Amino acid sequence: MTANMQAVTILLVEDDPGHARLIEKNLRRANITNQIMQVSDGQQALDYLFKEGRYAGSPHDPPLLVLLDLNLPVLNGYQVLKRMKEAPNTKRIPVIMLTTTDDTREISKCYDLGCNVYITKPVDYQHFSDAIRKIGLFLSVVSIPGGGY
Amino acid sequence: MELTSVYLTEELAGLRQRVADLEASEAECRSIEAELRERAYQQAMIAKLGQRVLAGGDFDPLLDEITVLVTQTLKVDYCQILELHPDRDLLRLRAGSGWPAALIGQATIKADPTTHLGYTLFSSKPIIIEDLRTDPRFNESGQLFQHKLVSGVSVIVDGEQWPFGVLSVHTAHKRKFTQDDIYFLQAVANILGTTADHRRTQLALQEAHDKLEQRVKERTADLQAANEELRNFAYIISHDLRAPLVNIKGFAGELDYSLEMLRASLDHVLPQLDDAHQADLTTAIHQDIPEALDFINSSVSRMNSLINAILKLSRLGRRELLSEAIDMTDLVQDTLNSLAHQIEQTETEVTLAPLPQVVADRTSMEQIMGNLLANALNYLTPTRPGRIEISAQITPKTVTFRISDNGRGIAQDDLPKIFDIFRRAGRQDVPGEGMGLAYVRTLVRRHGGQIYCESELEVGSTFIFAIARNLAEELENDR
Repeated sequence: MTANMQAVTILLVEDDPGHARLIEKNLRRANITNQIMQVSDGQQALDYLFKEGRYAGSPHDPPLLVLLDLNLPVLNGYQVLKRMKEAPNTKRIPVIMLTTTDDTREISKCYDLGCNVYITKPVDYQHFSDAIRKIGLFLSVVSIPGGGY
Repeated sequence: MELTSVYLTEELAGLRQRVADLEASEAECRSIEAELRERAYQQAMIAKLGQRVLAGGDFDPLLDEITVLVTQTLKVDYCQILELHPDRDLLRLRAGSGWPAALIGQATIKADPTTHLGYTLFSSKPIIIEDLRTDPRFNESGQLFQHKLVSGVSVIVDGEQWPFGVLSVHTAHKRKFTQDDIYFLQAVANILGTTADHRRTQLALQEAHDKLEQRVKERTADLQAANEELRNFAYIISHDLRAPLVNIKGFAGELDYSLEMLRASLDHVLPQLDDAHQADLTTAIHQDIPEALDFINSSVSRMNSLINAILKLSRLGRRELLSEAIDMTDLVQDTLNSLAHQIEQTETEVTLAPLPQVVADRTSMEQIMGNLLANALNYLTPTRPGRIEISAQITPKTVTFRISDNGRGIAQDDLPKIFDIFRRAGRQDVPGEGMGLAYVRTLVRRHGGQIYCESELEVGSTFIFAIARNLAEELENDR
């Protein structure tokens, strides 16, 4: 884990507080020490990414990556993904879809819209835990595009 | 001479009288002959009309033809057919010869005895009018064409339940109508009445048929909507129910991690406690908490597999079917090959009769046959060698497959529920979630078919399912 990476944030878009907590716990177990910013609907996610609404004028850097649920209030995961991949400032931020849905059509749709990885939340906790830890491992070896808008 | 003269004169007078008589009877003959010719002509016209009616066709052109035929046959100026309104208060001019076209279908007359047409409705006999203008029975003032109609005959067109209306003829000058004329008109009215009754019955039938058709359409639409709703419902709950399960299982896992930490510290903590507390703490950490977590975990796993089963069923119901020609003998042989090990182990004799080709979804057929054959093998009786027979029968549109075994059979009480989700019958000595036959039924239904089972306990079961021979046509028909 480089110092550069530690300085940046992971944006977790998750409306289920239990899921959010479990994801965070397992990322920590994988030694991910980045700040985890959790928002609970799609609109808040876009506001954070584009510094609009309640995040207008906020000095934060763009997130290292986005962990995105599909079934979200206000704006759903597809809409967030689509907006992100259309905007020049956010299109290179890696997006990992992390959702309970394992329908093949929905998975394809997410890849079509430009998500980088699609992971179905396993009900079995050992698998869930492993999956999140692997995301942590993946983060520690992957090269992320440099920050700055 | 005188006498002779007188005699001759008398003779002459007699001869003259005879000549006059002869002349008179010849005239009478001619008149009778004319009358007979007229009657024959009228009867020929009745016969023609009868044939015309039997030939069928639309009702309105027939009414027009009748008025023309009557006008020509009776040599009258006007002929009209009036239909009684369902409320029975009005007669509407339905067809007319000699009448302006604008009046047809529009003009009405009060259906009461003050007018000659209304009066006709209340009489079982033809109404003969010498001069409508002076006839004391009727007040035609303000009625249709009252100034033009002079002589006439009108008859009721009767029906089985109520009169159809009135048929009448009129002349613009004074005219006497013969008994034959009146018989003729009555005969035409009778034919018309029967035809109108027949048509009324046909219309009622058609209406009933249309209503039925409409109701079937509505019901079908309702069913399709309900089906769609059910499928979406299954899909949604399987997703939404999963989210809380992730939490239950997840935090049970977190509890497990915490428990591990407690266990690690337990040995350090225990010596500082008295015996009773040591025993309690040990029981809690080594037995009670792990037991509770085990129950939570196994229940969540069970629930998860139930949800997955519902999800799979809903996907089978939604998946797009691909029609292709399939040789069912080959398909079943492939399925049997994949089960070869089990067939050998159970010493089962499998008889596969030649099966027809079908146009169907291959994956569905594999799943149906795979499930039914695996069931047949799984539920054999160890006390006798297994026997499984697969055969098929075809009809022009469908093919019926039969898969018979000599296995343990299914109790009569259990038969109705074996195709329901999560239902399993008999001894639970073979693992399964009770979804196989529910999947099979869904797939058979999607192929426009049905499945049922005949079974006798300890004797064997036969699963019989029929599907459309051509799925592509079936799907086309459903559209």
